[in-house]
Amino acid sequence: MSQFLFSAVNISKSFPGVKALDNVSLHIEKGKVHALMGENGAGKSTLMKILMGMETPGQGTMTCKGKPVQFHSVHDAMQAGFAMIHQELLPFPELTVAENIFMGREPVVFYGWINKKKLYSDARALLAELKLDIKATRLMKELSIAEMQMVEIARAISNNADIIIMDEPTSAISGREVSILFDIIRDLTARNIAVIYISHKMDEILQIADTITVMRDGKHIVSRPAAELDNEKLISLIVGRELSSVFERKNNTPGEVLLEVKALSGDRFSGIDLYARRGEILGIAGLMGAGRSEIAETIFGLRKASGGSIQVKGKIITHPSPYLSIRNGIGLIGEDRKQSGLVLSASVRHNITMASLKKWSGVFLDRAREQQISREQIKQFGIRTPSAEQTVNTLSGGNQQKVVLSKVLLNDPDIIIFDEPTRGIDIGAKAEIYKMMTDLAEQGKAIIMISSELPEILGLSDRILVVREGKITKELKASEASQEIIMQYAMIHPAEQAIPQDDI
Amino acid sequence: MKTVSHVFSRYGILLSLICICVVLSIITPNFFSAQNLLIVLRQVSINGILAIGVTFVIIAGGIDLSLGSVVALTGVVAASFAHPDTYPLVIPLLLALLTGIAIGAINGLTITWGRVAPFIVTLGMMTVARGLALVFSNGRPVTNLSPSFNYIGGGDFLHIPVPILLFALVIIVAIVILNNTLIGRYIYAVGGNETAARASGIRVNRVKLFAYIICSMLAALAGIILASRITTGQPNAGVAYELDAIAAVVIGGTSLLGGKGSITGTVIGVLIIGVINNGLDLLNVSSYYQQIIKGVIIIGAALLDRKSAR
Repeated sequence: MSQFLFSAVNISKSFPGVKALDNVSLHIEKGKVHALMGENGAGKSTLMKILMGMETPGQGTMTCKGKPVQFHSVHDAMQAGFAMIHQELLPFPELTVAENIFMGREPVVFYGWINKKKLYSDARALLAELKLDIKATRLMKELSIAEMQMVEIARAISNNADIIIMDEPTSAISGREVSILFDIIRDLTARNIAVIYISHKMDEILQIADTITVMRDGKHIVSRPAAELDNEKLISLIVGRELSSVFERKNNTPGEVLLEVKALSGDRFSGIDLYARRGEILGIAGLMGAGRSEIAETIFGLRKASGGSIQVKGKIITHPSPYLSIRNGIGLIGEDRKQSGLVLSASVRHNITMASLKKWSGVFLDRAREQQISREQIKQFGIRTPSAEQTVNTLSGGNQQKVVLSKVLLNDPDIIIFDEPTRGIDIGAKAEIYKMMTDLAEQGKAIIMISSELPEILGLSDRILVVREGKITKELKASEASQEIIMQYAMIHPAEQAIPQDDI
Repeated sequence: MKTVSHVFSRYGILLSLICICVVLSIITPNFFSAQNLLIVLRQVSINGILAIGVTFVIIAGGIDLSLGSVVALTGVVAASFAHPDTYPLVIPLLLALLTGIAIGAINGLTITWGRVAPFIVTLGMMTVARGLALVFSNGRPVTNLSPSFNYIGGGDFLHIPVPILLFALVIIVAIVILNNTLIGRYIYAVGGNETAARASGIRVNRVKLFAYIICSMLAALAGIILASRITTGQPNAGVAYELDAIAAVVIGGTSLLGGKGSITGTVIGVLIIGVINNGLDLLNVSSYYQQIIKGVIIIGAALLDRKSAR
């Protein structure tokens, strides 16, 4: 027992109508990275809330450093040595890095009088000790997401945390930043700090984790050394079934051009030429922040273009707006469903019908018809919800994404832009969304898919555009693309590629 | 079917209203009589119409602080054209309503196409409309109004005061708009998540403009009723009316953040404020104390709403 820094044994937790956790045990060792995997709704979040004192377990015991513990508040959990780096970071944007690190624990001279000198020298010492290249005097709002994460980690260390929970830490950062994060994690484990690492990304987990625990439907499935596991074994453990092949791609002959964009320029991109054809999936690859979402949102009319033209089915669209785009048969499934996809406070039914109400309602709503349509959609998309009247923010990420898909597809668009369609959703739901995209292409829709996940791009696309720093750097046929080639055009400046050219 | 917390919070305020009525019936003999209840309803009808208007704006994610001044301005406009033997009754009514619509349009356009915060725009409009009322009337009350005009605020129809009938009509139309029409649904969507609404092809600016126009138009209706009831177009009338209206909306459980709320909630909020005012009058509580008690009740209701929302 004492070999573990922390143990949670036979934890159960029920919410009205659901058993969120059913006899789950978790043992954390000093200086190790313990990865936690499972589909959305598997119970990971509930378990983490219990570890952080945000929920109390219904049953079960917890032991920390050999002593039984009970957490009634986040404060209790922090006292026991827990710290959590949240997926959605909550820093104080207008304060400096040092002020953020020591928030609530500022060095004071008299009561309420902050010793600023000590605050900054302590912060600098801490950042240097962790080998973080961030100035203590910078404002939090000026930092990148990766840097904010590092500040949060520094804050946890300064708080003497010895178990740091990281919830999807790489969901918003790119390749180079991920490797920096991993260096920091290795540094943490060298200091005997334990890391609980929650992620959907297999390759990262296999790279960084010492032990992997898989959960499914609120139950503990397995805890095993990472060395004994690989991609396929993990997938089958997570979904509980063998996935023969996630990608099923039939070769279609592309039809007419439905969307043609010429020399489009706007916020963070310029000179974009692209076209999309019936029956074809066009993949747009590139790093996060390369301007891909901005291109999609500009085509759809959510952002203003500064130049260029957009032609839909042969008709030039002079002043694009979402309203016109929808009427012209374009659908956008946006990158951030909470921000631009859903009205979180409204019901599943209201969200599903929001974009298409106009098609079958006059001034007055046909409520019976609306109810019927939303029931059909819930069934067709397999949206797991108690009823159509459930508020949408209570659903899991995958089910929320299906609500967005249903909303957009109800308008029967011919051109459908998917921007990171599988971000933050579990493998089972991912496979369903892949199938949906290939089916839509087969029905003769033009599909544009923006994704940071190369297997997705390679597995589904007929044609691939690579975007780097707001410009298209390469167009590839599916047959000639590979992860290496895409990354080359996504990351490296053209001048440095292959044959050196004259730099301007 | 609504969510559990929704039902609970609405049920909660309805319960508060019933409790207040029961207590008042016990401690004041005159409270629970048909005559007094009609008085209460007539008293609340102006605040009620204003509160329903501002409910539209608040659900759409905005706020309107210009209501009280719009009441004064439209009252003065109506009164100026309502002297006996001048124009037919329809002229003052139409002009007052058009004034309201114009002000709502200016508010809405400045907020949407001008991208200025609703708080600032309507705060500015509050003094502009007040100033216009004073300019239009030369700062003097407009008196000597026709009997037909005075019937609107003072008359009875089938033994029921006309303002109560107008209030009831406004309630019904507002409920139908918010629950059964496209624009009503869009108002909730825009207030709930403006970006998502826009991405769904909803023309957000038009929806907001509609909400502000409805709100000011109802303020004009309230202005007509008030001028008619006091038989005067009073440029100094309606000061701080917007605050009572917003208070009623908040008591009724509508979120100031937008996207949530209902007309029934607002009506209950209006009745709570009205019943308390009436009860305190019957108990001969000084109007100074009345203000304190009313404020405490507003904060208490919001507190109760927070608790039950959890």
